[in-house]
Amino acid sequence: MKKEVTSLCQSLINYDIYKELADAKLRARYNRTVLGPFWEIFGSLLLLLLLSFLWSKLWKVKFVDFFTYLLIGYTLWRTILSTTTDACQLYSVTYIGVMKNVKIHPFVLAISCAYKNFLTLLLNFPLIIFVLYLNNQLHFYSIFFIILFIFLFFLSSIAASFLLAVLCLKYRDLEYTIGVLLGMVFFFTPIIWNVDQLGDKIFYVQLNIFYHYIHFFRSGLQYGEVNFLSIIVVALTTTFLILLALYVSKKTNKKIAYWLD
Amino acid sequence: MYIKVKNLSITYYLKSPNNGFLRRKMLNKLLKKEQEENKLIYALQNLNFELKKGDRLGVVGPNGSGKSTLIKCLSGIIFPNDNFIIDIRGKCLSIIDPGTLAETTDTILNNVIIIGLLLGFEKKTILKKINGILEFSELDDYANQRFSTLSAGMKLKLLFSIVFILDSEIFLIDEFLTTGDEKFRKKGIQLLEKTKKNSILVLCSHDRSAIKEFCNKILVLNYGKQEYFGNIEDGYKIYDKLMGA
Repeated sequence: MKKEVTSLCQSLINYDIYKELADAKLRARYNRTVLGPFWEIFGSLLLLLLLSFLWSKLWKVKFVDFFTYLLIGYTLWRTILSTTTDACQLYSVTYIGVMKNVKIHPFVLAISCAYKNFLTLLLNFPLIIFVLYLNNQLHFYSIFFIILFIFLFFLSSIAASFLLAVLCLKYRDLEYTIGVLLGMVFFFTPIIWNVDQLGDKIFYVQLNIFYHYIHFFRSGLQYGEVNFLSIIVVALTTTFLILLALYVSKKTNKKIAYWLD
Repeated sequence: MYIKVKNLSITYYLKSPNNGFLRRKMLNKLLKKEQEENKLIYALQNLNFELKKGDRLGVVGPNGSGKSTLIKCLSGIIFPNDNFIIDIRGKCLSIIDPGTLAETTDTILNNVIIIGLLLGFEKKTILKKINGILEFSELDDYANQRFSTLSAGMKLKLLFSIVFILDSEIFLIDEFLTTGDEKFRKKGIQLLEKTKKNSILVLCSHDRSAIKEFCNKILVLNYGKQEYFGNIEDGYKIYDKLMGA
């Protein structure tokens, strides 16, 4: 496992290559558009404004409160979704040419996938901070929680991207299965509905790991405090994902090249 | 600087399309059809050779003889079976199909950086030599144009320039050398002549004139087997026999 840890660390240090790859994919995605990656923000902003208006009336809550809640949760969910979608095709489609033709550790490509989506998440921050400011919810302690969250989330994204990319390369049906599952997870995670609506049945939602990631991010930003359980779950999940990625890398390192077709 | 290869073999099972999928497996069971056996492929069998500084090896053989597999193996892209020795001393650069590394919608300038990084060079080295690359490929006036606007020949010229201006000690090249128009070809040959004494070249090619022009040793492969390793003339006699010429 020592070799795998070294490979991961070396890949993380090799900032130039994953930054350039991520930037290139972002440029390719928004090729010839005027707004570029800001489409990520404006595209969802309109939808969120409309949904917030509708649901704040239906559930009789303040528009601004609900909009803030929805904006923060949905922004992170979109990052999770796009990271997962990108990761499922990472080795089998996106970088198949690269993997067939140059010696590159699969970790580097997984990091570039996580980094690209992480950049998109960061682009949303000015809007989130502006909305929090309007809602009078800017807290000093939020900075600490967000730095911790970003660190854990980035590591989780790298490990999850690698695992999904390898598994989807070997088992091609998995990509479609994951797409279906994520569609369901969206409705079972408190993104567009408030967790308080569950009352004493909150235990069921706590079994959902995505809830803890969303809660950590949202509560940290909005209230400057985070449930201890969510911090522990996110930290343990990150550790588990990293260890699993290292183990899978060890087991599959010599086989991946034969799965590329 | 050297390359030492001993007992290099690669075998793998080629899955039959009728066995690979779960749905096919289930259907075969249901219809009580027998599973087809996966085919054992001998991609490379017990290769042995050594190259030292200044050696230029031409690898020849019919299609499917294992030339590209050998380059991928030496590059560390694919891993051979156990009990082999691949000892390489020197900075190694493998060029298999560099066109697939390009981001076609991105600019030529950005592509030079991306391809350079993917080939294993540091960004500062690439930035230092980027003007030289664009000048050599005669694309310095088009640096901010999209890569996709280049013709196939111009793309190859650019890729050739990236590979040889950035420089290395060991070049592992699969069918990528004789490129561009007459003027560019002359420039390319001059550049290669300069690096001849201080590098090792392994070139897989069907182009007899390129092998004769650039190489001093030959490795003849047939169905993964090493038929000959030695001088060019004797090598081509064996190759011609294999091809029935």
